[in-house]
Amino acid sequence: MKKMLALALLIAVTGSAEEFQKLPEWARPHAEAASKEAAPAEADAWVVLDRTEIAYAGEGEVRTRKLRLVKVLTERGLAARVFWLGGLGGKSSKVKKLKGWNLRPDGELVKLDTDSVVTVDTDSFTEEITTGTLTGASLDRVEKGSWIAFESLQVFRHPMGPVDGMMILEGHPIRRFELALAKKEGWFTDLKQVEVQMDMRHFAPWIPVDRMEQVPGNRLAAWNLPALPKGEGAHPHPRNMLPQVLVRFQDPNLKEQPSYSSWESLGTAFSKRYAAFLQPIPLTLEGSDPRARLNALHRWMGRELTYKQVYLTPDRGWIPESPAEVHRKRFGDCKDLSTFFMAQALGQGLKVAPALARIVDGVIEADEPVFFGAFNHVIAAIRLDQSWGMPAEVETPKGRFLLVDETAPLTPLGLLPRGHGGRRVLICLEDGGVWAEIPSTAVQVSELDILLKGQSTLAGELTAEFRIREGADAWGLRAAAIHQGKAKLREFVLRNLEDLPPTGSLEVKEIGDPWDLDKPFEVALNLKYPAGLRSSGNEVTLMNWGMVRLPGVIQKPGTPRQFPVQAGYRHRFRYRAEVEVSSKLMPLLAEEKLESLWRQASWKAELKSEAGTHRLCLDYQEEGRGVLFGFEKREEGLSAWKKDRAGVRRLLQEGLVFRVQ
Amino acid sequence: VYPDGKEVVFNSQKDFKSRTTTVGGSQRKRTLLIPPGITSDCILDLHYKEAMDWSNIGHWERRLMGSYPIDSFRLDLVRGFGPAWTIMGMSSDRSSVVESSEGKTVVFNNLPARPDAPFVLESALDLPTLVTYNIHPYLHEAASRGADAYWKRYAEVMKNIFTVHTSKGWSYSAFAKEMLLDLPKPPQEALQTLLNRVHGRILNAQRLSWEEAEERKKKNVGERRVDPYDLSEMIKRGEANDWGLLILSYRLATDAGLCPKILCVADRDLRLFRYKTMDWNQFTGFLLGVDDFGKETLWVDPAQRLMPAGMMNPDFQGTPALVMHTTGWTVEKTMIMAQPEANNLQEFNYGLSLSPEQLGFQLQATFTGQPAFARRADVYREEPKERDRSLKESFEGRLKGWAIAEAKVEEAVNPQKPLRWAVKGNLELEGERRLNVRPFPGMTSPLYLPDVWPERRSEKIVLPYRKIHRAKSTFKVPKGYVVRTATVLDERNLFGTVQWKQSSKPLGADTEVVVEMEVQVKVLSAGSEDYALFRDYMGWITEAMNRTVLVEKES
Repeated sequence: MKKMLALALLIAVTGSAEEFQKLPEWARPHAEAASKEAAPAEADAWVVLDRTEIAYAGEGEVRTRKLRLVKVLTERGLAARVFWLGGLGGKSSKVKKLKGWNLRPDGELVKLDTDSVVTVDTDSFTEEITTGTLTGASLDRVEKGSWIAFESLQVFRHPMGPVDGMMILEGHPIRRFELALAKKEGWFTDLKQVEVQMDMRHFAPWIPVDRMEQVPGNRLAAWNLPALPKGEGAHPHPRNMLPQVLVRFQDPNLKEQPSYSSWESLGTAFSKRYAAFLQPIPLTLEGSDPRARLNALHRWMGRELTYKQVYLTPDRGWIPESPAEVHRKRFGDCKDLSTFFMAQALGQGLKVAPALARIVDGVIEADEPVFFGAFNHVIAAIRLDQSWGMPAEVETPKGRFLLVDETAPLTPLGLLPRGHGGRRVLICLEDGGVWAEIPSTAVQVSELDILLKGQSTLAGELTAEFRIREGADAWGLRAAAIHQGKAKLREFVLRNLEDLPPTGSLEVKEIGDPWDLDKPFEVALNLKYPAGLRSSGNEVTLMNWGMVRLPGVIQKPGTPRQFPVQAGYRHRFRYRAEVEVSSKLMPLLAEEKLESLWRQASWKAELKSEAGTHRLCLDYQEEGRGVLFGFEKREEGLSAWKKDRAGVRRLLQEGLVFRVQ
Repeated sequence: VYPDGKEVVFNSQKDFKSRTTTVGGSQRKRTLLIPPGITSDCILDLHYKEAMDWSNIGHWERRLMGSYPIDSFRLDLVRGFGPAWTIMGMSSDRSSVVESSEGKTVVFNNLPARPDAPFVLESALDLPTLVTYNIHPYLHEAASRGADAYWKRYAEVMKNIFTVHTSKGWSYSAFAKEMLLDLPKPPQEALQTLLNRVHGRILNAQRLSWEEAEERKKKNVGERRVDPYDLSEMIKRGEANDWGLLILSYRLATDAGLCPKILCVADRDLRLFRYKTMDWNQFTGFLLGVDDFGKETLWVDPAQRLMPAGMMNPDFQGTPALVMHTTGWTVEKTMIMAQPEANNLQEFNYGLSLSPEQLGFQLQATFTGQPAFARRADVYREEPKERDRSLKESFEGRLKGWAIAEAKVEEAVNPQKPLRWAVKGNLELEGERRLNVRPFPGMTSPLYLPDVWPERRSEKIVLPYRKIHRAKSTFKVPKGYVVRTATVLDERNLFGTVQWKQSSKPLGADTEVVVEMEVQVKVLSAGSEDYALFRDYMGWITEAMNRTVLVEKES
C-alpha cells in the first residue's frame, strides 16, 4: 500500500506519460525525458527545450518558429509563465501564431487564453521612440510543478535584410537548446543561390564541445547548459563573452539591402545610403578656413540640436533623416546628427563619409562576422588631404580622416568621447569600407579635480568652499549645467557625492561657462557640513566628501567567479583639502602609495602651522585605467580587485583620521 | 516660439506617434506628441482637444501640473462636458474662471512644478487638479440638494446593500450562533473576537496567504467567485472577497447587538476624502467600528486578516472620512486620528562576533503593528522558504560583501503574534589594526533617508506613521584590541527622539561592548515652518544609523 502511495506521489510530482499526451507533440518526448532526470539544483525553472527554427522564404522574408518547454520548480519560477516576442512594428513583422499550454501538477491542462496576450509598443518603457512592439503571452493558473509550453510563429522583413541572432544562455538552466535553419522554397521562389550562414561565437567555455553538435549552416543542438551567474559585477559586455548565434541568409536577389559578403561591401552600401541625404542647408558659419568653419558648425550644432531617438517607421533605425528635417525638428539621433554635420561639411567643399562604430556596450572583435548588428553608433569622417594636427585623425589605406561624434557636443572638435576608447570604426566609402582603430590619444581623458578649502569650528562644523574642476565628462557636470540649469546643479553634485547630512547645506556660488570647451569646467559651491570634523577620544575624523570612492563588491562571497573581470577606464582624479583647524592635529596616515592594476595613486596629509593657525593639507592623486582579465584569469582578476579595494578602504579608514596633539 | 519671434508650427501627423496596446482582441490607442524645434530658450505653446468616453470612469483626478513650471495653463471645459467635475487648488492670485456660452474656461498662471521634496503627501497639498466623476442616477436628485443630502442618500444605498440586497440563506443562522457564542461583554473586545472567529472560518479569496492557498487547493473548490451578497454560499464555501467579508462581519456584529458603525475611508496616497465632492468612488476602503464608554472607537478592517488587532492602516491615519451610524443610517464627517507610536514597534537585537579576520552577526528582530503588517504584506503570498529567501536577499542587497548564512521569517501569517526575523551573516576582514564596526549591520533606517534635501520647502511634512525603532548590539572586543569610547547621542524635538549610546564592561577576561539605539517618531505631520526642526531630527537619525564603533589594536 505504501509503495502504491509513493508511486502515486512520484507521478504527481514528475508528471506521467499519459499526462504528457496533453502537451503538444513536439514537447512530449522532452517532457518525458526530463521527468526521469533530477532538475538542476538551485534553479527556479528549468528550460527543458528551447528550439528556434528560422526559415528564409525569399524576398527578404524570414519566418521564425519558437518552441519552448519549461518546468516550473519554485514559486519564483512562476515568472516563466510569460512568453515574450519582440517585433519590429508596422508591416515589418507579424505574429502569425501564438499558442501556450500549462500542464498543471494535478494533471489539468490550461491553454493560453487570447485575452492573456498583450501587445505593447516597446517605447512605452524607454525614452527612445520606436515602432518596435513587444507581445507578451501569460498562461493562467501556473503552479510550482507546472510544465509550460509555448509555440510561436513570426514573420519578419527586416529593413537590413534576412538576418537573425540570439544569445543562448538565460537566467534558468537549459536542458536542450536547438536551432534549425532552412530555406522555404515554393513553386515561384528559387532560393538555390541563397547562402545560409550560421556563426557561433563565445561558446567556450560555456558550452563544451562534448555537449553540442552542429551541421554548419543547418542546425545546432546543445544540452545541459548552465544558468547565467547572478550577482557578478565588473565584467565585459555580454556580446563579448556569452554564447550567441548569428544567422544570415545571403540572397543575391536582394538589391536594396546591404551585402554581408565583406566589411568592404557593407561599407559601400552604407556610403550609398548616406550619400542620398547629404544636402546641406543654408547656414552661416564663421571662420577663415574649413577647419574653423567645422569648429563653428560643431559648436552651433551642440547648442541648437539635441540628441533624441525618434523612429516613426521600422526602417528609421537604419536610415538617416534629411538635414532640413533635422533643422526643423532641432533633434536627431546619431545618424541624423552625423548626416547633418557631413552635409554641411560637404557644403564647405570637404569629402565626407559615415563611420560605423560601437560605443559603450562592448567592442567589435577582430574576427566578427560581417553584420550590421556589430554597430550601435554612427559618426562622421572628414577626409583630410593633410593633417590638421587633431588627435581624432586616423590614417587608413584609403586616406586620412578626422572622426567627429556629433552626439557629444561637449567634446571639442578633434577629440572623441570616452565611449570610443579601445574601439574601431568602419569608415564607409563608395569604394568600400575601411577599418580604423581609434587612437588612444583621440579619446578624452576623464579628469576630476576637487578642492575643499575652509575652516572648522571647535564643535567640528565645517564651512568651506567646495570647488570642482571637471575635464571631459567625469561626472557629466558640464552637461548637467547646460541641460538642468543652476537650480538643479546643486542636486546633481549632491547625487555624485556621499550623502550630505540633512542639516548640512550646499549652495552654488560660481559656475564656469559650460560652452567654453577649451578649458575644464568649474563649479564652486559653499558648503556647511555639521560635524565635518568628528571627535572621538583623542582622534578627529574628517568627513569623507569628495574623496576617492570605495570600489564596489563585484562577487558574492563564497561563490566561484564565472565571468571574466573587466572594469575601469582611463581617468585622472585629484582631491585636495585645506582645512583650518583650532588645534594641532597629526595625520594618522601621512603618506601612502596605492599601486594596483586599476590605479596608481598617492596620498599625502600634513599639518601646516603658521602664526598660531593650523591647517590640515591633504592631497590625493590618482591615475586610473581599464583592465581586463579573461576567463582563464578571472579568479586572478577577482583577487586583484579585492586587493585594490582593500587598499582604498584602508586609505579611507585611516587617511582622514588625525590625532590631537 | 524663439526669442527672435520666429515660430515652428507643428500640427501635422509626422510629429505625432500613435501608441497602441492590444489586449486580446481589443485595442487602445494613445497619441504621443514629439514637438519639433524645442531648444533651451523657447516658448512651447500647446493647444489640444481631448475627447473621452466618460461613461465608465468612476472617480478620476488629473493633476494640472508637470515636471516644469507652467507659465499659463488654460483649460476649456466645453458645454456638454460629460461627467460632474470640480477643480481643486484654485486660488484667486493664480487662477480665474470665465463662463461663456461655450462652456467654462479655467486659467492658472505661474503654476509651479509638481513638488518633489521628500516626505510630501501630494493629496494634502491642494494642488491644481481636475476632478471628474459620475453621479449615479439614483443619487442625482439628492446631489441637486447638496452634499448633506447626497451623503444621507448614500447611507440609504449602503443600508440596502448591507440588508435588503444581501441574502442570509439557511446556513447563516447556525453559523451566526457559532460565531456569537459566549462573546466577551465589552463591545470592542466582542467585535475583535468576532472578527477573529470569522477569519478562522472564512478565507479572503482576494488575499490568500500561501498556506491558505495550499489548503484551498486540497479542498478543490475551483475558481468560481463567491457572490458577496449571498452569505449562505460564503459560509458553505468558507471564503469571500473583501466586500463579502465586510457585509458578513457587519451582519454578525449587528446580530450580536454591537451596533457597528461603518467608516468610509480614502487611501491618502491616492486622495483625501472631500465631503463636498459628491462621489462615493472616492472611498478605497470600509471599516467597521464599535464604541465603548471612555474609549476611542475601535475600527477593524474585515478584509485584512493579517492586520494586528486594533491597528488602523496608516494610509487612512490623519485623513478625513465619513462615518455611517447604522442604527439610523445617518452620516457624519470625521477625522481619523494618528495611532500612538507604541503600537508600531520594531526591535533589532544583534549579537556580534568580532575577530581581526571576521565580523559575524546574529540578528533577532521583532515587529508589531504596522511594521509587522507591512512586512507580512510583502511576503504572505510566498511559500515559507521563499519568504526566507527574500529576507536573505534583502540583507545581501544591503550588505554587499557579506555572506548571509541564514535568514528566517517567523509568524509571517499569524497576526496574533509579532513577526520575527532571524538572520546570520559574516564579513571577512583582513586583520586591520583599526576595525570600524557597524553595530547594526543590514538594519534598515527607521525613516527613509533621502540623498538630497532641498534647502527650503513650502510643503507640509508628512511622515508614514508614528513608531518606535529600537536596536541593541552586543559584542566582545578581540584579544589585543581596545574599544574607543564614543559620545552619547540623545536628542529630541517636535518630531521625536533619537538616542545612541555605547557602553562597555568587563566580562571575565574580556570586554563586552553594548550599543543601544532608539528612535521614536512622534508626529504624523507638521508644517513647512518646522522644516529646520525636521532636518535636525533626520540628521540625528542619519548620524545614529552611520555611527560605527572603533576597535583598535593596542599599541
